Amino acid sequence: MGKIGKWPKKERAMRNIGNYGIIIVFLIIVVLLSIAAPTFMTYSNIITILRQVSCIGIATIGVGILIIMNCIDLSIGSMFALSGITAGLMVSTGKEGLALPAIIGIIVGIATGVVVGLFNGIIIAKGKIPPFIVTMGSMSITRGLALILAHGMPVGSFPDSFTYLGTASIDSNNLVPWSVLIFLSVILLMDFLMKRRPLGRYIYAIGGNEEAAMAAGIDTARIKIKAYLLEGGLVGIGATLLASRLKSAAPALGSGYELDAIAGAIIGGVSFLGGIGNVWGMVLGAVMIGVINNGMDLLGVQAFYKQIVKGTIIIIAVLVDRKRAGRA
Amino acid sequence: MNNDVVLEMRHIAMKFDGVQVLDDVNLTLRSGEVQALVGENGAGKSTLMKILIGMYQPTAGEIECKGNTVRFRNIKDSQEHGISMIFQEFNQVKHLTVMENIYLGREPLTKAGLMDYKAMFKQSKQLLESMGVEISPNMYVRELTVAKQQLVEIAKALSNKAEIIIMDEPTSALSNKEIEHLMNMIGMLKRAGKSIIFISHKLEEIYRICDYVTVLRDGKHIYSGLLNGLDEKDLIKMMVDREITEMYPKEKVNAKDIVLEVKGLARNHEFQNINFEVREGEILGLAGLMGAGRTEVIETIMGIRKADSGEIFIRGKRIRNRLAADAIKNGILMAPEDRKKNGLVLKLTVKDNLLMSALRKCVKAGYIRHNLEKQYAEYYIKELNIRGTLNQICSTLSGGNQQKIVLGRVLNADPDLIILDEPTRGIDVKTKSEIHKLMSDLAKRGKAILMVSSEMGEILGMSDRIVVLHEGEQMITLKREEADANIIMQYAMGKKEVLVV
Repeated sequence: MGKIGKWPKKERAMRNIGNYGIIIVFLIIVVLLSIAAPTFMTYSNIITILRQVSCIGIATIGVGILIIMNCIDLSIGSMFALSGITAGLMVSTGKEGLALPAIIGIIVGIATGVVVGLFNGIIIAKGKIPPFIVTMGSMSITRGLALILAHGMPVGSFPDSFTYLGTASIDSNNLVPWSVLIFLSVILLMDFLMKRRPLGRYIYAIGGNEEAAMAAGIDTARIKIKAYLLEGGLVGIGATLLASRLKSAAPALGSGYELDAIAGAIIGGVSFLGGIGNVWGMVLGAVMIGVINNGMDLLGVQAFYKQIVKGTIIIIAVLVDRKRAGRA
Repeated sequence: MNNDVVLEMRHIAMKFDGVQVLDDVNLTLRSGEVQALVGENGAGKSTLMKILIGMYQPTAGEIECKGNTVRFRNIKDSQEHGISMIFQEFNQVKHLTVMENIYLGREPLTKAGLMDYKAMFKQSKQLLESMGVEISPNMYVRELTVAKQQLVEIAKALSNKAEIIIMDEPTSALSNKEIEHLMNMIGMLKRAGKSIIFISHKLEEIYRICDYVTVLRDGKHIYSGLLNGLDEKDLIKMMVDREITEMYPKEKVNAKDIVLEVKGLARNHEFQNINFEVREGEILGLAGLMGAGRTEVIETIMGIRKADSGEIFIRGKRIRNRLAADAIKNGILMAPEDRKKNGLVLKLTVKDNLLMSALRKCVKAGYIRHNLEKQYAEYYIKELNIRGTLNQICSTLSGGNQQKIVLGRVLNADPDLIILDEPTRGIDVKTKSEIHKLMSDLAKRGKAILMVSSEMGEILGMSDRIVVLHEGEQMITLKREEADANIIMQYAMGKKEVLVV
């Protein structure tokens, strides 16, 4: 067989940069930060980063899957607000709250995400409208609903039973927070789903070549709806967890999260042209944004500069993506 | 007609990826002449014309334009030498006006360097009037009918001072009345001393409008001469006459139960009243020239397009496919014509593509089993002799191997009816005979196969029966022993009464 199945040298090198370039950049940042900030490489700081990343990280996986399918969701930030508020209203012991058991709040929070995802998915798949436009619309609708439900005010007064998951750890020494554990479970579950369930394969196929997927007999509309529903559910989980951690849910919750989530997925190697990417890459992307934020906090960098650094890294990641697209 | 030679293409040869597409082709064009360029699909007509307008660079040969040897590096070069081509899909910006399209890329400017819309309007109006065309320069191209868009293209060519105009099947999308108008327009251009190269599949038009004819076959120059005095059947004979070697091994199988039956299938502007059936163990060939509606018919059966009327039956049961996914549930699977466009997901691996249509087979207790995947994928890699590995990305494979993966995907889903659209186009000879052998084996195993092919040898060698389409009309259904290249070609070119040579 000889050459078959092997990449020409140059192309192989390009591919490897595509796959591992981000890891190298990540390691460089980690090394630099550990030198510059002695507290960076401590167990408690790492756990802090992971805890901060977990909510947005779950949403990053959601939107990453959509980007693999050559779709997008701009309504993530608003979904954070709406899900957080519906969950919060269920459990709050305040004036507006229903003071229901925490489990009801969690279910309602996640269900809210599912409903918004379903709405997006059905309109995109059945109405054949570009995802960018549909989710830009639902971004506004969802935010509006959040404002109405909360009367423009933050919802608070959550019982401890609800804030437990976001704030507590499974052990008394605070070594393994529940939120990190939930994040890890979502990662493992979604990685399995993308690799080992037909749904995952079909998502790659649609993103790689929708026409071919259709001609191969894949019901592309159905798969799209399922993917959006799944993504909505993930965002719902992330939002509920965030409300639980912050012990409140404001109508402005999660504004700008859609961009952070998309950025995380792209930095993590998901091709904006669709068809390429994996769950662990997305996680790496989300963690990388968390690490940069945390590192700059430790170094006392002004918040304004963070924006520039984050933006620069997104562009570099897409440049790497372009190189890969040029190869394929 | 005067006899000044305006263009000579000499000894033109062209190779694509080592395949000789054109070999020693000559074409001479005189001023005021309408020359027909004819040949089967894939004879090399379009390639020759694309060389003429500078889209392709020939591997050998030279072009002489008005006495000077020229080399066109791009379309702009050829336009500057007065050559314009009217493509089948016009290259127009639909959201701009007629005049903006006519002057696209060479807009008249005012002294201040702004677009001189006044001059543009005046000049386009003059031009269109001189052509006897009633189109306002201010209209948007998207508002025009196809026929009028075509006239705008001709106007654009004339405004470019074109002396040689190439028309690639200009009548294929026109109504009879519009064709009449176009014919008059061509007559007018001819009287104005323009030369026209007219590519067409319709004998009637060719005989009506053309003076001269050049015939290509398999990339070779077969004949050039006056059309006057040349018999229709001799012309067709030149187009199809070739030794058909026994490389097609379809074995005779006694056809059994009907698998697919199509009754009165029709789709507006595409095809009308199509009727045929395909039986177990049978290969039904769908023959016709470009634009005859063959792909449209099979895509309608697949549910990719919606029929306006007619019925489709699978094993006697009427089916309605809204989606390709429905067709698969009904036991129909297709290997599309364009592998890269909708046959394969090139970014994914050999394994992913092979299993895509029947991934369920690899799922046990809710998740995909790697061992089953490996087992099925490796089976087809071996069975079809695919030169690639399980996890190789498909874009790195040759066309022949990609086509085998498409076929493997279809086989893995184990349908009753297999639809193959141009199963061996652009594939090397060895792979081609492998695919033909496979088709024959499948038929022997009782599969029904519906095949669209533009290759006469493939149609004749592989089909048990042949349906010939012309302009969306079913001309005839021939049995294998009744068919030969000549007969098929006459029907395909729209002759109702066929002369047996």
